[in-house]
Amino acid sequence: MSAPSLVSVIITVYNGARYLAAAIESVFAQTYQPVELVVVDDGSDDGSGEIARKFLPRLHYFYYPRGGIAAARNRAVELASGEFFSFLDADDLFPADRLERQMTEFAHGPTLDVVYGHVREFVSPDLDEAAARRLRRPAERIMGRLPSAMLVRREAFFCVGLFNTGLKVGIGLDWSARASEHKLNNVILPEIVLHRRLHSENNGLREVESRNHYLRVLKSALDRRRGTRST
Amino acid sequence: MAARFRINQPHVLHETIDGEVVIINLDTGNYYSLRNSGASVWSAIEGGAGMQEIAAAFRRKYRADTDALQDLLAKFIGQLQSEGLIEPCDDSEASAKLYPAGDESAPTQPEPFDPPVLEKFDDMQDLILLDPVHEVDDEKGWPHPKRSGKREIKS
Repeated sequence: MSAPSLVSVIITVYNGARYLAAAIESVFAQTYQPVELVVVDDGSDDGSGEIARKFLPRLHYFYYPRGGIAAARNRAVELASGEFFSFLDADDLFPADRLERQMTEFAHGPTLDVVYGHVREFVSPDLDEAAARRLRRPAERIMGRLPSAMLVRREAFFCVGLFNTGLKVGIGLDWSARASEHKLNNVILPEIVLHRRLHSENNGLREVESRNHYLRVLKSALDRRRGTRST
Repeated sequence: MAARFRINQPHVLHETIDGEVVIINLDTGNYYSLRNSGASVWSAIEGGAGMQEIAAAFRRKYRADTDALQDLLAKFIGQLQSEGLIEPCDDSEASAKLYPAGDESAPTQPEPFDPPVLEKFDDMQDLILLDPVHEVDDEKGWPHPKRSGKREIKS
C-alpha cells in the first residue's frame, strides 16, 4: 500500500491576528496526516506574523508586501508541495475530521478532481451582543463550493488556473465558476467541512466599495459561457 | 399591476456592463442577465419611468402591435417583480430624474420589436449566499438575507 498523500493547507492572512492562532490549531488538530501548513502573510502589521512564527517549525511562514488575497493564495500554491490543496481563511476553522473525510472520498474515487462539503457558520464568540446583532443570522448548514470548503488535486487546481488578482472580492466565486466550466469531477460531501466565523471584519464587508466586482465576475462567466470573450 | 416600480435595493445588486445588465438577488443567490430591450426596460425603471412611459417609448422605438407590446412589457415587468428584483412604488417615491417622456434616442425608423427576456441562473446560489457581502452595513443598511437558520440544501 502506498504512503498517504501529502495535503497542503494554505492560510493567507492580512491583519488577522485575532483569530489566526485558532485557525492554525484547527489544522494541526486534523485526524488526517500528513499535512503541510503554508501560511502566507499578506503584509500584516497587526502581529499576525509573530503569531504564525510562534508555531515554527510546524508550519511554513512567508511574508510578502500586501498584494491582496488572490495574489497571496497564488504565491502559496507555488510554494506548496502537497498532492492536494486546501485553503483556509485566517478567521475560519476546520473541523478535526475534515481532511480525513475528504481524503477518504478521494481514496474511493480515484478519478475525482475536487471534493467539497457543507459549511456551518457561527457568530464569533468574542463579539458583544450589539455587534452580533448587526450580523446576519448564521447558516447552520449550507452547501459550500468555495475554496475554503474544497480539497482539490494539485493538477486539477492548475488546470483551472490561479486566482484572479484583478478582484478584491468574489475571488472564490470566480475560481469556482471557472472550475465548473472546466467540468471538474467533483462531489459535495453532506458533512460540515468548514466552520465559518461571522465577525465584524469579514472581507466582503471591509471591501464595501468593491461590491460590484461580484457583478463583473458573473459577467465574465456569462461571456465565457456564451463564447463571446475569454476574460 | 402597479404603475411604477423601483429596483429592490439593497437586496439587489446590479450593473450594466457592455450593454448587458447583470443583477444579483442577494436574498436568493440567483443572478440574472438582461440584454437589448430588457436592458432598456431596466434602465427606464432605474430612471423612474412608469409602465405607461416605458410603453410609450417602446411604441415610438419599435414597430410592433401596441397591444402585443403592452402585454409583453407587463409580463416582463411581472417577472422582474416575482423574482424580487423590483417592487412597486408610489409616484411620489419615484426618482426625481424622470424618464424623458419623449425618448430622444428613438430612431426615425422604428426597429422590429425584440421582446425583453429575463435570463435567470441559479448555479452560483451557494457561493453568492455564502459570501460575506451580505453582512449588515450600519451606514447603508445592508440587508439580512431572508434565510432561515434551518435552511438545508441537498447535495
